[in-house]
Amino acid sequence: MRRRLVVALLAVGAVLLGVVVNVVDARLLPYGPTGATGEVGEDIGAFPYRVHVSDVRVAETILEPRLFEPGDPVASDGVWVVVTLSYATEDRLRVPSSGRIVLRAEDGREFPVSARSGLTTWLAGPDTWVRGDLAFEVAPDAVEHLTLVFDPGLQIYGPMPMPYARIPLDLADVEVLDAAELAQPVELAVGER
Amino acid sequence: MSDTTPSSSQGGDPRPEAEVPTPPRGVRAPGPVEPWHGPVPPVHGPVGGAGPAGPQPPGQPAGLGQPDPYGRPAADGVTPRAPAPPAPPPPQPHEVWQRPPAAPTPPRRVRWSTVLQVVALVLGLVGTAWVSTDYLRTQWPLAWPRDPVPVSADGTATLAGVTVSLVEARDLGDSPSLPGTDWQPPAGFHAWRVVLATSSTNEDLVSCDVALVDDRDRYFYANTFVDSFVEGYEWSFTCGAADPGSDVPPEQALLVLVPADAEIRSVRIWNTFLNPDVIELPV
Repeated sequence: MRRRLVVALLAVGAVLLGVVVNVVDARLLPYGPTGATGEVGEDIGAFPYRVHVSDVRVAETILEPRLFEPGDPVASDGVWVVVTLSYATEDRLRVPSSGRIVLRAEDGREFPVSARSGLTTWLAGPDTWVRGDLAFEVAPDAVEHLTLVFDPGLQIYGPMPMPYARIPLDLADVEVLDAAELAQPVELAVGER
Repeated sequence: MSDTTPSSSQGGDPRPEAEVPTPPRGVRAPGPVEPWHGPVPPVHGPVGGAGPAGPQPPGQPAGLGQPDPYGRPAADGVTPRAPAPPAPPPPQPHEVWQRPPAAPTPPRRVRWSTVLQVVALVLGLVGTAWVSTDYLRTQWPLAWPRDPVPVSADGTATLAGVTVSLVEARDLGDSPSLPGTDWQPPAGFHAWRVVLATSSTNEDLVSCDVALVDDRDRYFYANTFVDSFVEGYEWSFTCGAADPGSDVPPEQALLVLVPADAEIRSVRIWNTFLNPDVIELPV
């Protein structure tokens, strides 16, 4: 009889422990990858960054950025999607990994920053916004429903939130350009994006 | 107390608590359990304790007169029969049933298997935690500079053979006149001039990072987002031992881009190889 009572008490204790853990977990900060969805033209937080997408172009070719002359055209078997974005940090000088900034199609395919574009991610400082272009090579059938995923790739060891930004790009009616010229990163004035 | 205690709870049952007698039919159960005030049976003795007949008479071997738990015949070849338990008296209409006294518990034995399981559990948890915290124990303390070294009364701080003092930290405003360049800070930013007097005997270092830190713990790095070729300013901060033919001045001036609303509190100088120690000079 006593053993049955002990088993019953243990079962009740296990249920209560699960309830308490769930309640505590719901009150804590979310941890693991935590996505924040924003729109083109607004600031989105992806700690320790804040990201702002200001323009998106679709083109058959791109022109590599050069300082004093037009760059060489670079064609693609798909289409080029050039995203003009700016970002700043919240604490110190950082540069995001270009491998963690992708265009995600509706069916889950991910298109990374093209290594053939001659541009990659750039430095940014605390509240020091820097704007530049990132070029992606995308399959033509995936252009209509793309989402820019900006993942800081911050390595946090422990139950901490690891936020990333999702910015849907509405490219259903966008005009496909013959060529898009890429711009070098430039520091922005306060309030400018 | 009546002797309604069944024999199963007095001797021979290794799990005396497994069966708790219930009151006979027609007898109401009592309210709170009263403490047992009767004679306490001896704890040590034959298995099962003393039976209803009481303790064994002197000179009689233990267990004699009781049934063998394994059914073995007695020495005389006759299997002893267990004494019949006393029949409970018929319940009286107004008799109150009393819970029988608890049977004597056998002496506790050390369960070595349980001890080994607990030890193995603890060792497993400690080992798992040790392995999983390898990064926190080895790399994380060196991940960034966070332990400022003491600053002497004359404003100098020494770390790994590098002695630094702050000569000047001045806000040049939003439109500074810098020699040899027409560079201007973006709107909403100011340029800061930081001059550090340095002497070093550390031959393993070449340059160190320098940043202005504000009250919100934001780090504004020197020589970043500014013109790198301004006359009179260094494009990096040399903190290693200077070569004999080096033209590094004893006081190095650096240019820093800072938001206009930043409240600068200190200058930090660090190198990854010196983590987690850092030089922090108040402004």
